[in-house]
Amino acid sequence: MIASCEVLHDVNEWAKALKYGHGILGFSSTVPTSTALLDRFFEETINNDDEIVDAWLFATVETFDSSVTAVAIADTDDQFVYDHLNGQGTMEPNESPDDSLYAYNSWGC
Amino acid sequence: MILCMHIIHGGANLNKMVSLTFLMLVLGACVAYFVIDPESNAVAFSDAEKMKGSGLSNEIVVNAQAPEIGKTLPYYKVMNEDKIHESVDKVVIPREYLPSEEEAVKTANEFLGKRNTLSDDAYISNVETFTIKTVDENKGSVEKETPVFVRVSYNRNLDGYPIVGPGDSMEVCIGEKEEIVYFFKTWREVEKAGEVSIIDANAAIEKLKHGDSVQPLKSLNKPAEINEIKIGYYSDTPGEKQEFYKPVWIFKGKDDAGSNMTRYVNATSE
Repeated sequence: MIASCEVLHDVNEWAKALKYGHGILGFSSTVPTSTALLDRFFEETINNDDEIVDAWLFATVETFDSSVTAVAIADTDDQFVYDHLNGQGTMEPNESPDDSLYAYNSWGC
Repeated sequence: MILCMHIIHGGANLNKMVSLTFLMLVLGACVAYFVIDPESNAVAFSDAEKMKGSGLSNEIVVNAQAPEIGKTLPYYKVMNEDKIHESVDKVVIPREYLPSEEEAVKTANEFLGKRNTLSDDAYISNVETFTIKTVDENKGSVEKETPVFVRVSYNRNLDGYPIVGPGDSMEVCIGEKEEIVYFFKTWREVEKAGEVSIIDANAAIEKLKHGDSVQPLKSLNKPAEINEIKIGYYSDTPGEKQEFYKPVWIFKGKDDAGSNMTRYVNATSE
């Protein structure tokens, strides 16, 4: 997770970094400093055993307004949908063989 | 010195060498002039170019007109906060058939109406279809787009002014067969508390230049261009204790890196 302003502008370049890593969460816009974001994210992923992208959606939408754009990138569609934090549920296998496809979406919070 | 060297090696090409050397001296003098006298250099650029070019200036280009407002505006005391989060077990999952965005708006309005949560001051601020995009990183092209849900977002006006910030919004996300897969509401009940004096937009822009905005930002980029000016009320993060809703100036435009920028500046004079 990269909770910094405008880091994930170029999703395509960041996706190339995903070989054994499963995903990247962050923002493509400026983002206010907030402790509520992480509290909300870990509440969903750890206390409620939610999938990572579900938790990122809830945390970002419920913490910021629409001027902030959140991004989620995963190496595969299944990782995007089904991956949990390690120890909090299932994790999809690493992509093998490594192809050039990745999954992503961005949304105004 | 350069001239002397050329004359020694001169011979038949002496005239050509002298001309070339003269040209080099003129160019050298120009470089020295601009290094020594940077102010003269700056006047060659327009104001806007100067501001964008340096990255150090805190000047802001204003391309918008501020709305006319009185010297005071009402402010509101927060009486209560309503916060609801409901979702199905798995929200982000591929779904085959989603409603159209028009159908989704109808479903969302009906859903909120049945729950008595669609107040008169609420308005639809955005409707979009959330998808998972499968992209080929070599070509940069979207190879597949998998539907997930249709999201209808609501915001709120207070006495005709928009409420900005993370509070006071509703999200209704609709999946297959009109199923509500995610509903989120954060709404504070407020009562008019009195009137506050308002600073004008120019004074607010001065505050903005000094980094005085309502939300602390992680960005080092500075506001460079304002293309829209409004006044509204700021609502803090859901769950954060907020005693009053007070007016803020809302500035939209570009920062000095060229990215979209939205900043809120406290509009009260005290």
